[in-house]
Amino acid sequence: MYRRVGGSSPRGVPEKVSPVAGQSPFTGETESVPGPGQAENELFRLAAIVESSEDAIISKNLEGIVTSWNAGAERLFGYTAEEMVGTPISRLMPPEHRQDMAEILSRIRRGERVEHFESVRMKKSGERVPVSLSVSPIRDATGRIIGAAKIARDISEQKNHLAERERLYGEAQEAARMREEFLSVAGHEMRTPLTSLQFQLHTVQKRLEAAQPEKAMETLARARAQLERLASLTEELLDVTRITSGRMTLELEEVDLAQLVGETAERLREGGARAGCALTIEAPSSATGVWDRSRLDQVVTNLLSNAVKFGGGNPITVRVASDTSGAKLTVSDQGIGISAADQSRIFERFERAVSKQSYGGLGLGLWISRQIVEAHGGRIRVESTPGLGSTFEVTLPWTAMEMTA
Amino acid sequence: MKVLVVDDDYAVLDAMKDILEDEGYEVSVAANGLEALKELSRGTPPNVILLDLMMPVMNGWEFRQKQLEDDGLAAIPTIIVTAANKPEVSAAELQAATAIRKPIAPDTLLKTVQQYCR
Repeated sequence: MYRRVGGSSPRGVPEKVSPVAGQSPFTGETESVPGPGQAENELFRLAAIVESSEDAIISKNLEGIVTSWNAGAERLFGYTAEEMVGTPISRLMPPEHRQDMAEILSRIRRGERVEHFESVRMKKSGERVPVSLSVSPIRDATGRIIGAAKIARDISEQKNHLAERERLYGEAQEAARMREEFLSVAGHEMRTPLTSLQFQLHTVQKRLEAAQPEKAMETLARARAQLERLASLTEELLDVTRITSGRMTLELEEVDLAQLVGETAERLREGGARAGCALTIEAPSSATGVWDRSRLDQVVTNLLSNAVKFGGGNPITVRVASDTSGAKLTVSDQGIGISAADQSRIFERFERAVSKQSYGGLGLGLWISRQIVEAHGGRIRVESTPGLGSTFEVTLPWTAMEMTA
Repeated sequence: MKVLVVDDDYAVLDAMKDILEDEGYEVSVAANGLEALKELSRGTPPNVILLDLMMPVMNGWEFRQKQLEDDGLAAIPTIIVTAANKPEVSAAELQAATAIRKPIAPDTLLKTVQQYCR
């Protein structure tokens, strides 16, 4: 057995390592027997190797009592050799890993080696440390197993790397799952206007064949609306890329928000009426600021379409107000409302507060709206009570701050 | 022959109505399952129901459950018309006559309706 006495030389080799109880832990591994002087030199050479190892090298007898403890073990576990030698190795065992020791010792008694056994040990401070253990039997001159030599390596860093890799893998998987789901939703959303378009074109052809040009023209007008719907869906999909790559820029000009709201409401009035939602606008004669017209149109259209979609067939009120700092747009419905938990996530990408079995949509509208409003230096927020309705409020500074979303 | 079209998308409703009416069908429309049940409660029942699945208020699955609970309505052949993948699975689950996936070739729609109209 070796116990380190004194410090280390500048090269990290112990200045003095003394054999204790006249027993080498390496008896079984030393095949040739050198002469007396050579033997001592060899002993100190081996002791120096053990002492300078980065790994913890420990020997113990078959009762699990520590018989040697190197500097690496001191560094890893925080106990000095004086504290550990002669005491049970089980001190290092966290309660949840006690069974390890019985298993390792029984394998050692059978003369087997244990290699790269991953477990957890406890430092003097109580802190757990993940370790990789390699344990070999120690034999005496007659070949009888008298103990075990253990090399313990701190694998905290490996474990951290592994955990980080697993986390990144999990994130990548989640992103892939979301992308799959999004593509499926996008496909679904495209199929609906495509269906109408296909039927409408068939009807136009039939009506022209039947010499009913006026009726054919009516259907063509509806077909055009479906084409516009497909175009705006495509734009919405492209917006995802524009926004995530920071390429959404604003084209600023003088825009009258009151007028823009009036035009959008007119466009959506028929759809609203069919859904039973009457639209009321309360706006000053003008509220002109420097904004991006088509982007603001997108926001107003999105908020109004949502109000019709989730409005439960009840009236919708759109208000435009202004003060010295800027303009404020509010869209209030009396529909299904949004729970407090969902209110925080509806402005996130691909999020929706409703079941996909009941409501279609890409799950992008409010996210894109938020990006647009924030790119103008404005704010968007919602107040809602489930079952009573929702109010979305957009505030815009008079002049967009020309921020890039 | 009478057809009830149930779909929450008004453009699809209008387009289906036009195409079927031009072929001589009498078409009634409903924007969700609840409206469809109201429609079924008045007048002559349709020969076929064309049913979308994803709808607000009462979706296609909920409508189908109500329909099957009523012996009179359960007998009306119902064709699932959905933009979702694997429409045949939905048809089997909902004990529907058949299912067709959007977008639908007009000929497929007309042939399918004709097949189940009796």
